[in-house]
Amino acid sequence: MIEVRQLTKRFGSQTILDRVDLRIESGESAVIIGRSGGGKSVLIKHLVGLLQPDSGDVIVDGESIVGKNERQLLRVREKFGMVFQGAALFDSMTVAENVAFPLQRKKNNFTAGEIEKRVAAALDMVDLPGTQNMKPAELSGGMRKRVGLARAIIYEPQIVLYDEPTTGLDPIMSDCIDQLIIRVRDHLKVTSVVVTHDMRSARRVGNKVFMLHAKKIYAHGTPEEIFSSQDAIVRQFIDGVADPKEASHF
Amino acid sequence: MNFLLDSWLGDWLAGLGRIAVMTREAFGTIFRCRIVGRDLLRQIHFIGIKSQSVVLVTGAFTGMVLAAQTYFQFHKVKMDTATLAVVGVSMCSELGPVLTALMVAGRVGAAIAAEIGTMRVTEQIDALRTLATHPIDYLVVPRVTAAMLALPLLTLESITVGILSGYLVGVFLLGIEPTYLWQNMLKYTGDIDVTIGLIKSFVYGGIIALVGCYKGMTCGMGAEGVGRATTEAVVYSSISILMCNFFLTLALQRVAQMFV
Repeated sequence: MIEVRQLTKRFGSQTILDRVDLRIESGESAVIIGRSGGGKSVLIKHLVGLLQPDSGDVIVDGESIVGKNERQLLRVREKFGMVFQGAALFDSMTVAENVAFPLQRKKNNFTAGEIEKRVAAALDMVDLPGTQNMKPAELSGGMRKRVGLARAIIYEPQIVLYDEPTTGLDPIMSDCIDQLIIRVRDHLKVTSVVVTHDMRSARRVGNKVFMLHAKKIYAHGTPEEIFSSQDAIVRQFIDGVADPKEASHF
Repeated sequence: MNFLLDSWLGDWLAGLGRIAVMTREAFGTIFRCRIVGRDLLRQIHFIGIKSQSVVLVTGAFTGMVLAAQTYFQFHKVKMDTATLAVVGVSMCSELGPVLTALMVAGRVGAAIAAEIGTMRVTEQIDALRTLATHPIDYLVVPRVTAAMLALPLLTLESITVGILSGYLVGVFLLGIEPTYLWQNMLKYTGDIDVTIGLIKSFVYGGIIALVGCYKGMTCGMGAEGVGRATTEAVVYSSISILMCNFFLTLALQRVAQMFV
């Protein structure tokens, strides 16, 4: 279970998140939607301790992760896998080395054979068999994200965070990534947190939707509740209608 | 003006604090022997083996020009055979370690800052953290350890090549009597000069890697940030080496005098 209590984050004089509250139960698939630059990625980075809040608390499985130093956070982060917006693959390594990285750094001392088997299984799961020897530079955007997902799930984390997994992909590849998120959720029984502004993706992968607006969680509910909402701000975002005042700036 | 001074001083002190914390973290890991052998070997290969050509050329030409210049001055007072002694002492205690460190700072310090800086702007360092890997352990520790091991060895190479080049220039170009030239070098160049040079290069190795890693890990966003971090890594490590050289020379000579 992940709980965010009254979280406030500022960068310099700019407040990004203002007393945000959020609760995601184990096994849930939560989607955080909101406009670009609205603080969604900042919020998701707080969940795994990549950023520390100015005030408020983040609780993971009953344990506060705020104020912990980097070494203490390493233990907490073993529960998490994260897929980054740009995949964040290590470009000096091959696909196999990228995916095997978490296993090689763990203290369980997997044998080379076990690592090879697990890498192949993880790549199969993201529909990229046989790509072990390719370099990240040789992969397309969608393939990079799928390798990032394989790396995030190879050590079977309890929680997987996705930072805009379909941004920059064509509709078919976006659909493929959505299916993978659902497959990972159902096969590995993980808690998923997806940050996106892709409404189709939000409707498909989430069983709970949080909308971030004006630095706060403005609305939350099941996808049906959010997508049938008659609130003007929620409707405007879902329907993708530009604010006439903002449109006049262009 | 006061605001500017406060802001500059504040930033400088904050930077000094951050690099001190990073150094403490890195040496904590080194002393607890949590270095991964494979990562260390890769860095030794990059810092030590791949820097050899640069270091050898620098050492050779420094020894040659030093021999020529010393000869031109000493010839006036008929002290030609002391030429290589000056080359030996200078190469061992000053020019060998300093020039090797400056060349490695240009090649390796810049590469470290650029590589880690790129990793930072493409979120690869955040990815490391989410994979439960401490960036200091994975990125900084192998580079600092490798640089501190490789620099003394590169310096030894540079000194050796410098003295040999000086000898060849003295004998074959300047016509100095070879036996006296060599014997005088052995007479005036002591173990202590070599030891001082090696201690210095060990410290400079740490400076180059720490400054490069720090600049990479704190670089600004985008290509401009990486470019600036790379330049600053070379400039700051070079200045630190030159300043540190002065204080190390004073301190080590004092210590040496106690034993001689």
